[in-house]
Amino acid sequence: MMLRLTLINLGRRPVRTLLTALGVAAAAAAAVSLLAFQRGYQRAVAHDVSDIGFELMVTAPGCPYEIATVAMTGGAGLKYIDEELTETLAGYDEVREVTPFLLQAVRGPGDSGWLTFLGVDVTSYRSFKASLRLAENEPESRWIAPDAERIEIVLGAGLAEATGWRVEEILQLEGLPPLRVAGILEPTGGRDDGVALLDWRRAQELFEHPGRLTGIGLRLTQDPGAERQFEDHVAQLGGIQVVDTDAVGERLLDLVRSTEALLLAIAGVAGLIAALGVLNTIWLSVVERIPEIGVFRALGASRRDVFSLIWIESVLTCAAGGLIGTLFVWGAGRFIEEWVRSQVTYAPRGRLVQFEPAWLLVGVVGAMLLGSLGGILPAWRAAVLQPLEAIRSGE
Amino acid sequence: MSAAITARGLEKTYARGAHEIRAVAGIDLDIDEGELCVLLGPSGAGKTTLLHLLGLLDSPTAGHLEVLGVSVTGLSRREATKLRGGRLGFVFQEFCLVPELTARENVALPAMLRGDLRAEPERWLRRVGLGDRLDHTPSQLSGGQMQRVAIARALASEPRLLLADEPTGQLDGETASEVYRLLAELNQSEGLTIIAATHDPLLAEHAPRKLRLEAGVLLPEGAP
Repeated sequence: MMLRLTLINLGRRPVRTLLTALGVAAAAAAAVSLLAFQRGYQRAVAHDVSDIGFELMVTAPGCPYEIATVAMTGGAGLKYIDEELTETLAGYDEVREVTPFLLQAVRGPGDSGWLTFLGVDVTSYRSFKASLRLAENEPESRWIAPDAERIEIVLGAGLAEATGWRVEEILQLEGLPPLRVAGILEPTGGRDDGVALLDWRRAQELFEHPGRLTGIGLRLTQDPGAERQFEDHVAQLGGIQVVDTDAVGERLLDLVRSTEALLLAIAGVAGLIAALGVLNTIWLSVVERIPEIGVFRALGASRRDVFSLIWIESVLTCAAGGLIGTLFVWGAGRFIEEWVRSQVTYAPRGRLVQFEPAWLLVGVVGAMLLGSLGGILPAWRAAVLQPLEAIRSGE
Repeated sequence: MSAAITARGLEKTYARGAHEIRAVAGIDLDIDEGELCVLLGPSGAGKTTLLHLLGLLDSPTAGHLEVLGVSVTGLSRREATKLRGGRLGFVFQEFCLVPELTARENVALPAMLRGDLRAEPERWLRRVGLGDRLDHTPSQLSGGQMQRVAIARALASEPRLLLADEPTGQLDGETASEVYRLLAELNQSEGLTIIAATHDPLLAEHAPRKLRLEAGVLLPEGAP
């Protein structure tokens, strides 16, 4: 009955109730989407960083974050280093493994945009990326043969799906000789999904960068002094830069984490505005019902009963708003994600807005908390009304 | 027979700017349980104020008052609320029903507000002759029927004293007589003490006991 009475009262001013709930919904949506984005973005960055597969990268001097970003997303436009460095680095005792790579962007067919070609030494590259496998549903798939008569490529799963290219298909791309699709990879959820792998020497030849590389991926030995020793060697070589991918990833994550307080502050302000809106609505509702509340009191309702009645209205309005806002984020997560991707320079792969069922609870409970706070004042106002004065106010 | 109301030197004074208004001016009153009294008097005589004092909706400025054997002078708000909810019933001139609730829900409302789940709204609605209007909302009822719902609502907490303030003030003559007859019948059959304020002398015609107020003063009973 109390619940019905509450719903009846909220239904007396449906537009006002709806607008108030929508205000709360907006605040809940803001808070939940910010949290979901924060969580999703961190996971996606962490995944992208781990997907690079190299502990260290040696590149031409430049912004390490730009280099790391290009390595994570696939792309081109970087400076080059001499391929001889591969042998030099491999010769150091502290270096366990090396793998050279050459990145190049090529215009795809029609309006498909740019394709990223990654020239690699397949053997060493696969050693760095043990999880890289040929697609099981493509039985004809095989790894590229570096010395094949026709240049061969292996497509990332995403690229194959987007272009519709099949194994053994001969590709005719603008400005390039015919390329044979040797295989297609299993989806990795990372950068490799979107690139075409080919032999690094064939890539040098194809893209006219003889003797040049975009970078060299490295793994050091576990020896305690390995890092220090390697730094010394790099200093002696000069003209190159070492990018610690873990450190870059951490830095990127630090940047995201540093926005946490700001995002929470924004969500807090939205919540405060919503709580004031609720307070205003419920307060008005109390003022309009003073005579009715007076009758309730005259009929024996205690202050606590009246307080509960009004307070529940506030909590219910906010719970509804919280539910609407959270469900909106859930439903519109894809559109929010697309919008976020269009706004940022570097958007990692994977879901940026990571909605979890627990957010539903967070949104609704958070909104109810807002309602609890926003409802206290009007509920108290109603509870302290003197029955006689309240009844008389309606005469 | 025990006393329902015992008042000695009961006063209620209001301050209006620099003036003081004595709405109830030193009333001595005894009403036994089971009596049906009608408070008569012109508008502004103090009928409603006296009813509010007797119903613990207001506190006297001076004097002593006992309601159903409880001295209400110095009673805390909580105790007054408890006494009001458990042993007193109110009927208002304006009915004061919640328009969106059915007759059944309106009658159950006071008990539910107090967390009492034993309310039997159907029983009391049948008692006032509205057994076939249980699920009607106030807008689907006539004025007389609405007042009957209000009376059923007052009865639902099984009070020992029913206070009615101009219970027929919104009703036409015939409907008013019906409501009055209902009150008289409840007084007879349930032994319910009823004090009803009215300025309609026709309704008071058949009341067993008439109390006349003028300018806050209770006139001697039997006075013309």
